[in-house]
Amino acid sequence: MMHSKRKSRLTVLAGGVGLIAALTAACSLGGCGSAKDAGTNGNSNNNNTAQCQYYVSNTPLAPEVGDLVSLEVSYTGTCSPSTYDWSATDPDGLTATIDVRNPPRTAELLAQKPGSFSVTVSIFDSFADTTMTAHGGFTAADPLGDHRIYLLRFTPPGSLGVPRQQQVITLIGNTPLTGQVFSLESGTTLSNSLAGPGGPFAAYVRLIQSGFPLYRELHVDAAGAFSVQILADATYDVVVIPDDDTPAPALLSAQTLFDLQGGTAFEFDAGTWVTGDVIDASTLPVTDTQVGLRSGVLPSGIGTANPMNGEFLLLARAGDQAVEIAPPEHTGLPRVQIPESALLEVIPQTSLHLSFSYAPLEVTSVSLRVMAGPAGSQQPVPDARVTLEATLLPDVGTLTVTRDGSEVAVIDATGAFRVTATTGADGRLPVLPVPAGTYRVIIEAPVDAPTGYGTTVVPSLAVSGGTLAQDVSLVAPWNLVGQLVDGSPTPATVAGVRVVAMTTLGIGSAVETTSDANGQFSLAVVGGATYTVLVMPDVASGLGRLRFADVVVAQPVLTMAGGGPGGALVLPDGLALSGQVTLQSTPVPGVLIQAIPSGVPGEPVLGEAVTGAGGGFELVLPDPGGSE
Amino acid sequence: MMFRSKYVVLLAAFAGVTGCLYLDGINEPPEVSVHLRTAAEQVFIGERVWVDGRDTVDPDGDELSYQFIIEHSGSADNPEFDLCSAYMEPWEVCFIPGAKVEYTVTLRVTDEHGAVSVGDPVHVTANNRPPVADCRFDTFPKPNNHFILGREIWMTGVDSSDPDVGDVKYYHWEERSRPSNSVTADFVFQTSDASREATSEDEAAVRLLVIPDVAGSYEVGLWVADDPDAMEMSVATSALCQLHFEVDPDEAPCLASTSPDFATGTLVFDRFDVRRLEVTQVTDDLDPFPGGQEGETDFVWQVEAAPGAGFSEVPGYGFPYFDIDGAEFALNQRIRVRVLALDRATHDLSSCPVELATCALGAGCFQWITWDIEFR
Repeated sequence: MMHSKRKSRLTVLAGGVGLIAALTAACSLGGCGSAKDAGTNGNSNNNNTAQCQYYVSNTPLAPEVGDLVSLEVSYTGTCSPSTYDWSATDPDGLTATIDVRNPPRTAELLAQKPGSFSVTVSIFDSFADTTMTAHGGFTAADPLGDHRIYLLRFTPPGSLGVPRQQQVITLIGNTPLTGQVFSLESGTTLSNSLAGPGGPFAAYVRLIQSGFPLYRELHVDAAGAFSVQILADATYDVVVIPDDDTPAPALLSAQTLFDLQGGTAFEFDAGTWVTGDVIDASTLPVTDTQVGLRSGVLPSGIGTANPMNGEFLLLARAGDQAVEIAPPEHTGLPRVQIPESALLEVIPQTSLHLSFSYAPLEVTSVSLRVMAGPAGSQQPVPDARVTLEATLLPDVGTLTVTRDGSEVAVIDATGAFRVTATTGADGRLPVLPVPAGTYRVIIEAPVDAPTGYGTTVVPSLAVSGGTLAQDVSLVAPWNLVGQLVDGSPTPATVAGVRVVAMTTLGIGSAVETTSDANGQFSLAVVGGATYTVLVMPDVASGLGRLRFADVVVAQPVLTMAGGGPGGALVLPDGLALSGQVTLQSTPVPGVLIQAIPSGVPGEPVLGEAVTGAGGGFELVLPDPGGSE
Repeated sequence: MMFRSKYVVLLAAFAGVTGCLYLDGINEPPEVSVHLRTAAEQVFIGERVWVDGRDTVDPDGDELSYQFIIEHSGSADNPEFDLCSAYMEPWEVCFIPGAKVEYTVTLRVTDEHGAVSVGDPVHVTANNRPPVADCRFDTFPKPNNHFILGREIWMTGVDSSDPDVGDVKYYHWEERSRPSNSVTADFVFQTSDASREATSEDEAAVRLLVIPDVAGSYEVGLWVADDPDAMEMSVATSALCQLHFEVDPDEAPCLASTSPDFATGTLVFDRFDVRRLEVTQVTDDLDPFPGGQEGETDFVWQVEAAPGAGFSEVPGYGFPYFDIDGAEFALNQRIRVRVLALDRATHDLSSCPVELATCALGAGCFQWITWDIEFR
């Protein structure tokens, strides 16, 4: 038992932790290890700032995988830092989520994998009136390669008013982590108000905790005042989207509690007006088309093309923008998305006019009828939800960008089309105007679909002008099957295990079953669809979960094969994780605890439990060598 | 047809008598005296019966040998009794009746000269005692024997007993009363219990499953008999116990906590995000979420794809969460998503018009909630 004397570690984060989202790059600019890298003024003409140098240091100096590494910016010389923009990459070169702390010259980064992490901080120095860059980084060690990091997400009962939060645990080797006490932060009440040029306004507000993938969301009424529980030590990005888009939606980045509650209201200027129009190939206005811009995560206000001339007007914040144009479904025109570009930058005090003209597009009147039943005696299926989607329609139009009256760019646009309708009593959809292209048709079977027929995908339906009248048929589900055994030397079948398959196809497409006495399971799934399959033994079994992403159902009976006898899937032994959840040293019952593997996109939950009357819980996680 | 079986128990040796020589040559036979020796008025199966011949005398003072003959009216193939394992003097016998039959014990005494005397037969009839019926709830009730409608109520008579050792007990459950609006077809009264894998026929037989169909007062009885033909007939062979319980209406489940908070108002979802609507807690008497000991909330999700379009149920989807891929929706599209919490009971939601964002049958207890969502 090589690892038996090693201890699993618990890292408690005062304000939640950075969920490592992603990706990678080796350490850059010599920033690996504990070295300090000097950031210097990028403006070589400024003699005053030549003496100002910024550094990034980390603690511990030689971290191990699973450590929460504290980062801090310091400087020498005459500096006047005002804002810090942190970024990091992990050993694979992927972006690592960094948790900016309070004060914002400090941050934390979870060393979720072995190798070199690189950290970059862009600092706006108000004395120099310019942005300077400091680099840092470290190498996370995992000599035995047996560290596995999980995030434990705690969802307290709503009645407590305590924000959701998470902590990091590191399991090392095959050592269970038991008896830990997880102390929740009670949170702090943030009370403030929103005000624009016209006074208070109603808005949707989203607070995104730095490094935390869950949001605190609230709706502020017309009086502008709001109150919400947040974690005191965390920093937040705050997105404010006014109900009537006036002022323009706004983003406040890396806000500390002090920033958010500084005694003054959130005051916003109106933003910058952007004008434009949307016309079809006949230069007629495409009335009621919705137009929006987006700068990073920040949307603009919505502009609506008017019926007179197709013109729209919207408010946006400064910055490079992407453009989205969404015409009404009845026009049969595709939606347009133009990627973010400097050509589309919104600059205060500068006019920007966006004129979109659709190309001549063939619009087909599509009439579909949904049927089900044996060949020769099929019956119409009412209440079936049918979606036609084409994700890439080329050359759907051009966007002409005019700035201060001068045309600065003409951008060719691709489009996408998606329409959903429900069949009537005769199994028919209303006639749908659809631009020519190749479509995927998703037919979601209604609640009372004929027995044996389920959601169906028609992978390719060519639509090429004129009219298209066609029957589409619900088909019998395909089957996803497998057998479950344990990992013992003489594997035994495992009964009673929940197996869930989820797909993004359609709305709420998930199926579930339980393995039978022989450990076998069979799920009725949609042929051709892609699923994520979760195999979830009961905690009492002591077995860990399995997760399979991107399972494509490519044949009528798809067997999920593993390394067990006869290709059975082997459930790994689980590592026990147990503990108690407390709030101000008092056990908290009813807390939902979800264990999420660190660094896995999509955040599959690998174990979940609810604290009992004494605040205790136990769950089982796959061991460090377990499957995912 | 009854015939008698006869068993001879040779118990005796000789009673020790100090020797005196009598010269007159007439030998007198022993004078047998035998009686039943028992403290109780009646003899019961499985209990020791002593027959005592100690008062037997021999006028000549001869040494005596004793022979007990036990006869019974049962089967010849079955001894129907056992001899006690206790120490017995030569002049006594102890046996344990094994059946409710008449036993006749005869003592035959022989003196040392071969003279034989036979005592009056001692007749012993082993009496039957009725069982003791003992019934209780196997499902833990709320105080004062209250249960919630919809709950499986298990009862057991496993603690019933029969004082007559070896008696086979027979069980019979009966409905004794239920509310007048209870419908027989909907009322579950089931005495077998295959689902719990009873380990013997007895255990299966002594358990009862009741699933009431309406709230109100119920009473069930358990007859326990040691004679299958005497069930419910004779207090001598059967006994009754009764269980009375009250069934309270099932409380509707309450959506206590969601993420995002359903009371937020219109949410603005990013079209480039996959967002999860999630129920994180449902309170319910029988079917909470996360699940309790007996059950767990079911969920029904409904989507309204455009304002006023009406809600459509997502077929076959009963998970506590619902993922929404913003890419499936158009810029500025507004939808509503509703989740209903269902427990095992049917609750009348007719007081909640579908257009209401929430349905609350009681203050602060929401059976459904609705998220208003706008996509940007």
